[in-house]
Amino acid sequence: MYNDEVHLRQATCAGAAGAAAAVCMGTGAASVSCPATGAACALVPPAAAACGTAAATAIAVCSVASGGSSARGRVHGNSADSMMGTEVYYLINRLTGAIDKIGITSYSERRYSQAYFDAQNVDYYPQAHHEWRTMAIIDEQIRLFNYYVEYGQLPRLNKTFR
Amino acid sequence: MIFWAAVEGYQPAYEGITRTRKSVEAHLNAEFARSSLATLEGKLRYVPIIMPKGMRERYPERSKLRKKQRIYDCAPQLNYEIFVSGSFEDQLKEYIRGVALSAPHLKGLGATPEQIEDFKRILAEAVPRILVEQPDQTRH
Repeated sequence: MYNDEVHLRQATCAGAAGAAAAVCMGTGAASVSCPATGAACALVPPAAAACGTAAATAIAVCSVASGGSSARGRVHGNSADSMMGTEVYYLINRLTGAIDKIGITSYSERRYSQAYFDAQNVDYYPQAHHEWRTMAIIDEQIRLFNYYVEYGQLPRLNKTFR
Repeated sequence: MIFWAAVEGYQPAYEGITRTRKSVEAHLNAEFARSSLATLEGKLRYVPIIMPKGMRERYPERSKLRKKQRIYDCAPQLNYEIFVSGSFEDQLKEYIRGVALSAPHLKGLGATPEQIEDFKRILAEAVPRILVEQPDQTRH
């Protein structure tokens, strides 16, 4: 890929990410400012939808921009281009039933240890399986944004958006 | 000995799994505390894998004795369909069946033959006793 093309793709990615952040910060702020009663906390559907759509678009654009294939045409399992199959999962708190993490994995055989479940007090529940990792990333991001819009914060064990 | 349970399961079975786990965990810990197992230092960490066909293959069984930590990780695969559409009684039976697979491995935690027998007896009696203790849960 030529440098100009790389720069163009990176700029497009940055633009899409910025637009998504702007849209979603708006919905997040609305959510945070909701009264404690929760009675009037229903989100404006268009705002939430716009947030999710913008996020998904940004992820897709950036996945393409970053590229996944090496010069030899081999794709790493963690590359967005990977077709080895990726699962979207939740870690659900054993006591409260709350979603403590939304994540993806292409390596279920190398999954969390029982010691981790014990330490974090969680259960593991796969939610969806995607052949193309990019689709799993988009699915994960939409779920994360929806969670953020609803609760005003990420799940306990999610530190950042991807 | 402490019994602790989590799960690796598929979402449609969540309700059945959670209801069963809560019942069994409370019952077994109470029974262990009243038996010779009260003096056995260690933890039975039960994390069954409850996945439908097509997903089971990606989540193989992974039971393991961790002698230094005095933990037995019991992680068998259980029948997914039972936790989606089976009765509470059948869910209890399937769940307890998985727990019972750890009996031969308690020796590795230092359990005496008497303690292992107590363990087997408690499991054998568990389903009818839980059903009596929780009459609000429908059997079917």
